[in-house]
Amino acid sequence: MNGVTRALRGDTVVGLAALALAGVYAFFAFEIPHSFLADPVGAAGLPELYAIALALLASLLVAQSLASRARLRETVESGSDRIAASQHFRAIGLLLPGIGYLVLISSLGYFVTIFLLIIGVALYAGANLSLRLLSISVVGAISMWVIFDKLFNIPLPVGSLWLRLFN
Amino acid sequence: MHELGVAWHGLTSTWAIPASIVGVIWGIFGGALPGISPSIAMALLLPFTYSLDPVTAVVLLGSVYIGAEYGGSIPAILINTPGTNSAAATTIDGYAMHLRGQGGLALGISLTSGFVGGLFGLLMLVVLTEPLADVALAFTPPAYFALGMFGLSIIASLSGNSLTKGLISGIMGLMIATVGTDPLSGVSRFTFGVPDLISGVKPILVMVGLFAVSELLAQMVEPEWAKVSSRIMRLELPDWTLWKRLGRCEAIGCAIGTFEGITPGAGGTIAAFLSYNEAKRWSKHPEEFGHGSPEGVAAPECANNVVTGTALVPLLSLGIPGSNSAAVLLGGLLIHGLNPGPMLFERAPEVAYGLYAGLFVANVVMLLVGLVILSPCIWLVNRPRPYLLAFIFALIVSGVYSIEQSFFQVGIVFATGLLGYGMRRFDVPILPMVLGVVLGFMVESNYRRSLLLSGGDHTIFLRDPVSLGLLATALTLLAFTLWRERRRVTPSAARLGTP
Repeated sequence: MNGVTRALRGDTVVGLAALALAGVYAFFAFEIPHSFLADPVGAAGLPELYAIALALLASLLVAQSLASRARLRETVESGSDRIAASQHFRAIGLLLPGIGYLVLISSLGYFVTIFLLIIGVALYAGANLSLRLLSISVVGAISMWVIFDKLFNIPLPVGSLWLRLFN
Repeated sequence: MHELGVAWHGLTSTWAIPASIVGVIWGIFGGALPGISPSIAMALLLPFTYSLDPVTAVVLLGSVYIGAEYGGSIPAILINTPGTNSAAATTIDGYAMHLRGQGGLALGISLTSGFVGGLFGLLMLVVLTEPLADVALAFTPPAYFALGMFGLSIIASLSGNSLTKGLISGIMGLMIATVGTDPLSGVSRFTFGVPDLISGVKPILVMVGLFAVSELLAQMVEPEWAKVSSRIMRLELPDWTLWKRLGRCEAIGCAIGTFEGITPGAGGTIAAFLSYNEAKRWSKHPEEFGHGSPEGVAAPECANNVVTGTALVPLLSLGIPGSNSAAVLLGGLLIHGLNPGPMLFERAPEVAYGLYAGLFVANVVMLLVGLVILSPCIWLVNRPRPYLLAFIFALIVSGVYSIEQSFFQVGIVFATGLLGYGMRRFDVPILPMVLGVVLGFMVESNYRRSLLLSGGDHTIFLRDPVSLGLLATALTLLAFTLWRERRRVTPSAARLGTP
């Protein structure tokens, strides 16, 4: 699949996704209750307008990309795209250590979780598990803790697990 | 004189001077890392500014912007990889100079021309902003609505290859701005019973997600950048003869940087390439361009540093961010409850004048720090990328949490980062969405207030002369962009149709 075909197929995907978003957004926009304090437009006025505008633009984008693809009349080969897709999944997977951080922080506390986050992201991004990585992660966790807890006085979670263990 | 006093007070009664030093250093390091643009370097620091006083916060962000523009030229000259988009033009002659053994001189030219450009841009910022803001002081709700629409019309020029996708992005931003309590009636919208959403989605979260997190994800599929030779290189300042030779191209850079900076949606990259082109046209040695011409380094570096000042003119005077970096600076102001635009000089003059003074200090600091920071920059660029990504990721999650001690907000940043990555993947421009988020409240609240005043009569927007003028300008801008896109698309569509 060449670059132009891929871009046009991408436009179709974007258009359809935006159309779906417009539908969901419109559903909730029409559910917005009316207030006694309502002005001539009301709380739902502009959201409804945005939903309609998004739906129209999304339809236009789909139509534009389909028309251009019809003109192209090129055969579709999906091999190269599959490789690209796997790379994109790998990129999105970088969020997994972040999600793990959000799940663990209330029980393990800031210091341990940020240490695990640094290790997790570095390993995911291609670093090897080594003493060097562990040392860098410890230094990183200490630096973050000093900056946020000591310098900025941000109340960081201590961790319910440690509280249960040591209280 | 009074303004100078306010600026001096803003500078000396806060942490603005240390902030400008830290900001410039951070900016140079950030700019030196390929992929970390000035706006991303600024967005990474945005959560930290929450706990600072407003003057220190905006000076810090403004200084990062200045530092990053110089930082971007370091890998551009040493490894032919621009650290920032606006340093792309510098690679042409900067890298050629490096291959000829004049890398240190190229960096010196970049630093001094950037200093000249930065000071000139600041002068233009000071001269142009307040008169424009004075005009805007007479604004009524219809005029504010029209101003918001004018801001949104910039989407047309920020849309890159597809106006339709730019508009989709902008409307999605407007949709995000509707989340939370309705500004007039107090009704909750799109909160789904989640208390964290009642106050809406803060623009800062959208910016950090769209700019910083999406860049981290994108780095996972980017090829590894080249390593810089560990041989320590000495930075070399141009001598007086070379200074005189560079004067003409720096003047070109100043003129083009001013125009492009003030024009919303243009920015440093266009200014740098235009300046390079014009410097070549007006040079006495055009044959040297592309083979290591010092003028080919000075012109783009001067222009993109002029833009660091002039890009803030529409932001500070009208409240409209015309570039990614200006949008992040806007986020820094909004965090402190300050709305840039006509009222900023009335309500918080110390912030506006303090920013001017801070940017002056930052330019001087850039010159001084730039002389000694080369070796640490080379060290940083040579660090393994997984470690850099890990530290930046940790900084983002910790910084976002520090805003309101909310993990829900960290989740929002991840979600917008994912959205931003998808937008990059499908070539949907990001800045229109940021504009939508930032301007959504202004547009909606003033639209509805205007209709309350007029009893639902829409002609109020045409009866107000300022509103009429702004709406006409917005329509003209939109029509011009549509016309330009049609001219550009027609030949390519014809090519596509050829079997």
